[in-house]
Amino acid sequence: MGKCQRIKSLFKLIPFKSIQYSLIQTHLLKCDACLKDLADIDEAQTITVPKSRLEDVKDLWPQFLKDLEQQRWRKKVILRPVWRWALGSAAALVLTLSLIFVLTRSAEKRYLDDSAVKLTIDNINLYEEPAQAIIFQTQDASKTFVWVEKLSKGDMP
Amino acid sequence: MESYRELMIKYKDYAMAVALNVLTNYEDAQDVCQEAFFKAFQNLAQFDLQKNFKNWFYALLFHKCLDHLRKQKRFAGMLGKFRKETSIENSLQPENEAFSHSTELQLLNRLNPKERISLYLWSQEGYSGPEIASVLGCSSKTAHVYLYKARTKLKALLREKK
Repeated sequence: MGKCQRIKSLFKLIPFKSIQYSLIQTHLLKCDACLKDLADIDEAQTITVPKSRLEDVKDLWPQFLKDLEQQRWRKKVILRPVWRWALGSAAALVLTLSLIFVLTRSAEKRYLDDSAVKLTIDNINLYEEPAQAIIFQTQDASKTFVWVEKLSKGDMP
Repeated sequence: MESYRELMIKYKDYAMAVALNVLTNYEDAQDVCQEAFFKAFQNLAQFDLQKNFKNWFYALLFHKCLDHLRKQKRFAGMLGKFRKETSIENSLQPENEAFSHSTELQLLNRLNPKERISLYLWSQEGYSGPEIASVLGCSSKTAHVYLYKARTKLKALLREKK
């Protein structure tokens, strides 16, 4: 095979095509390797689809123009540097604000939970008689009031 | 723009033939050709005028075909084995009535994409090893290996068919 390649290259050096062809033909008649190659090409041609067998290939130009238009629009609107910066900054701002909001809310909640007075009254007497107690707490949870009052008639202790 | 249109008209049949031989499905080949022409237009600045446009375009088209096959494989994997089998069967049916090469495509489908394109370029377009290598983006030796494997498999397939 390598030898044949060299012969073919040498044939190419001959200036006249007609002489080239006749030399190649004579070579082909004698060379088994080249004949085998040609037979293989014939076989391969039976399972591959040649260009000539394709009928009426669709014109790709209209779709190409559509794609180009879409691409231009995308470049104009989204990919323009000013827009990119504006979109990026807006997204970063929204993210930062929401993060700050979430963090402050959770800190406030934690403070309230920690500072809240855990006060429960199971039983209270006023002048040797059962009374009812109401617990008040200011909004900032800094003060707690306990209001105790005598039970009126009909109230259950 | 007009010159690119002329280029598209000149190469659309070549492109379709390559894509069809790699993808073995007419509709897919058409879609991939469309994408490849668009991509080529976007990357025209990168094209070296000293080189052959057809080879450069074929390389781009072949990569698009590989991407398409990868996507198809992933999609088929997601849908499960049953759906995958049916999609492969469907892909072997020619959607275009005027296009009736299903037997060839079924045989071709049993080679891998690199072997398919090597075989096509070698047998139909008379490409040599180094030219196939430039399309596949590999060394000349590797291209020869793909071609050799394709030819061996083809012989076995034809023997099996007989």
